[in-house]
Amino acid sequence: MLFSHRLSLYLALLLSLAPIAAAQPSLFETLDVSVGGVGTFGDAPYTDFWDPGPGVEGRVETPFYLGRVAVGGMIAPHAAVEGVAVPDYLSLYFFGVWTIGVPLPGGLRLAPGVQVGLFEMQFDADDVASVNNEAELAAGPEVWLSASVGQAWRVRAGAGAVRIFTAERIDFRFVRVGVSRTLRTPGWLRDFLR
Amino acid sequence: MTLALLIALFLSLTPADTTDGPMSAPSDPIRQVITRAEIESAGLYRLPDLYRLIDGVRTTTVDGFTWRADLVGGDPFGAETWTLLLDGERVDFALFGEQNLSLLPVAITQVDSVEVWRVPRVVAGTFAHGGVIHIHTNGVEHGVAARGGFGIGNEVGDPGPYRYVPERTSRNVDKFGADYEALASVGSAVVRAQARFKLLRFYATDVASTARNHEALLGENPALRLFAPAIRIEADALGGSHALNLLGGGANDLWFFQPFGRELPVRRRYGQAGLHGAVPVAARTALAYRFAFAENRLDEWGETAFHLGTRWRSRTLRGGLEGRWQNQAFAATLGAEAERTSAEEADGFTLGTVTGTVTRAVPGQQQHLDAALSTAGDGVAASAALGTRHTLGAWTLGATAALTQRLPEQESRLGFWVRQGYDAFANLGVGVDILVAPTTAKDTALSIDAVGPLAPGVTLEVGAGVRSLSGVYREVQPMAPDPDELPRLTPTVFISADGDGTFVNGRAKVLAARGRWRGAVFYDGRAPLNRDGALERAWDVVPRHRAGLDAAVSPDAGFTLSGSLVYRSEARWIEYAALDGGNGGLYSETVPAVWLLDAALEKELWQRRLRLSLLFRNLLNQEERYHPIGAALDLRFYLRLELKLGA
Repeated sequence: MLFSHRLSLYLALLLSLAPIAAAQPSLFETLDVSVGGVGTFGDAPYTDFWDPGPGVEGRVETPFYLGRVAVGGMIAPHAAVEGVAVPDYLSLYFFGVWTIGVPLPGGLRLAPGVQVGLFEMQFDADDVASVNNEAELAAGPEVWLSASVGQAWRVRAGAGAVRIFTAERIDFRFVRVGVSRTLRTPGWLRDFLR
Repeated sequence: MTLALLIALFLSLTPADTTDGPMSAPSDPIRQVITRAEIESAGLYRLPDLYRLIDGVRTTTVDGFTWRADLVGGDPFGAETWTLLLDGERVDFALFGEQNLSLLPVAITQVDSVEVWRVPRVVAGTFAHGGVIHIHTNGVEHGVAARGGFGIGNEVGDPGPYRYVPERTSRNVDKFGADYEALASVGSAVVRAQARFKLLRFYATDVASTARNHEALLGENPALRLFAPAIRIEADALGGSHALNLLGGGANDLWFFQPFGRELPVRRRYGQAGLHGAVPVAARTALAYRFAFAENRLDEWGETAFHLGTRWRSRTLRGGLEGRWQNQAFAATLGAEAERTSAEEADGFTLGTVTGTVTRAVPGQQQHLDAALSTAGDGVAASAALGTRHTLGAWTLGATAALTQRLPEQESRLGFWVRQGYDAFANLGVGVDILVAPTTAKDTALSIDAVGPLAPGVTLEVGAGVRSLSGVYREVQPMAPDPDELPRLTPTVFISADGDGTFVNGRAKVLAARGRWRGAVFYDGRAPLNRDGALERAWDVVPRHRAGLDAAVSPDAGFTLSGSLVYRSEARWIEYAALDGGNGGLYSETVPAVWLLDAALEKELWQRRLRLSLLFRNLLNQEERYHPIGAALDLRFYLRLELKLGA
């Protein structure tokens, strides 16, 4: 079931924070562009076969009707465990996020959210392209804590988890660090988004 | 917990602006109109998804691509009894009584509105005894305009990286698309032209059908493809309006033919040219005309296990005239139509129909009488429907009584064509045994409907009906498993036209609109009072109860978030009892009750030129199955982009 009890409770908590986050800048007025590194952790039986490596992630976030939305991508290698006859693969995770920004004392900001995306796997195998590439739905919660370090810069640290809806479900947990810069959305892009 | 979460989500998103929105005026209680705005906010992906918005409809599918629909009863899922209209013209793409909405050269984004009539009436030169579904495509626009669309979807449950781990691997599951659609139009005040097409792809790989399809296609990939183009030209001339519709299509299809209980790999080709219009001939009097030619072809899809040597070629030519007269209080029509259907493999027939309607409309009330007389060969059938509608304050009440008769030629099903000489699928080793020959079927129906406001912004729609049928035609093959637990083609399809029965149905729907919110709560049910002969178990395949709620919020004109939660009760297909538990437990004579949670997000971009849709179906990942040997549709998602340019 997509909405496990834990995820449902997390979403309920997220929604209860919505009024705090209601004072948002206008729709699509700003863009937060962020880059960072990602550590991926899995569980057995997945880790009996593959070892997820460090990856990089980029995302762009903007104020939405309620809360904020982001789109982004993450790339990480998954190497076959030594001695196991499976191919390495490169994961490309394209996602959308809905998040709530909760201001904290000291310029800190907490941003819990939920993400949904497509987890694409590019296998290093001698098969036709349609077999070498596979993609599946992924979804899960995330949370970020960020601190202002200048006029428009923030440092960010976050954690998240996704479930990949393959026949045998795969759960990953992420630890992330990065920086973000807030920009005013160019007029042409604001017009396009509206 | 999930339901509570959904409600919490909607409550937490309640906008500050709670000004009452404009409430739709009470509509005709016997006619449902589905608007473009409703289609867009409901998150529909392909044309058969329209069934999700039709009140009281029941659907079934074996593969999730081809959907069958039962609107008002009869032989449920054996044949569609409703009449399909596209832009004012009847569509003759049905094969042995089966109507497949997917074949229409219309993409869901090209639909402007849909009218649904649940009661019998005269329409487009015929008496539509089982109701009408009338699809209106986007109007031909002035100036130059173009639209294009792309869509793709996927069902969860692929093997992922475990495809390389033999003890953990599994089969790929269904993929939808990529689908493409385009429409271009050019128009002036006098002439308007439109060309459009849709290209659909579907990979029928659900585990319930994998073994059957693998066997049928000799191991080939079960990739279905459908291409359907259309041209529509409208002109204003001679004081009236005229429309030429050219419709066509071709498909490689795994056609699940109900009497055989198996998918038959077939190549379908179909086309129709239709011209209709009306010109004034005197004050208050007009003459309408209607001509159409349609062809249906069925061939084997390459090399298959079934060696389906028998093919099908049928052609239908029809033409009709209708006089229309009206003054301030009365309107009347009188028409006649002749139709000739020929087939290369069987004897054809000629059907003649005379129709007449009288409508009286005065402030606060309207009465109408629709009648038709049809003849083919030695048979004659008479039908009539009498309806009345009254406005009482803000409420509108309607009642309709109908007596209808249908000739076997009008149903045009397998048993009829066998008697005309069609050696139905003899190469499959399947014979046809006609136990009770098709004859004139009779139908008596009474319905009462009402619509009106409960409170500001809140509308109630209620309806109830009773329907008594006799001489209902059914085709049945006793199902039996082969050693591989697949359905075996047994030697005989039994045909019987002695189905008698009476059922009642009722529905209620509360619609609310408040500020940026719209929502509805609904229930509809049906129950047999008695049934006999061929209908004895036939109605058990129809879920008796369907209930649910849906809600949508639009913070502005360019963004909509919607969701629905629908319950459907279980159904029992007794003819599949022998297969119960077969195919590793994937087959079951009982189609289980299910709660379905769907969500859709629609965002318009670039000053409404670009539309992005993200749709989720079966978020609870329940066993969403519609047929004893059909696919279980798991959580799936669709992404669609639509580009609109020009006028």
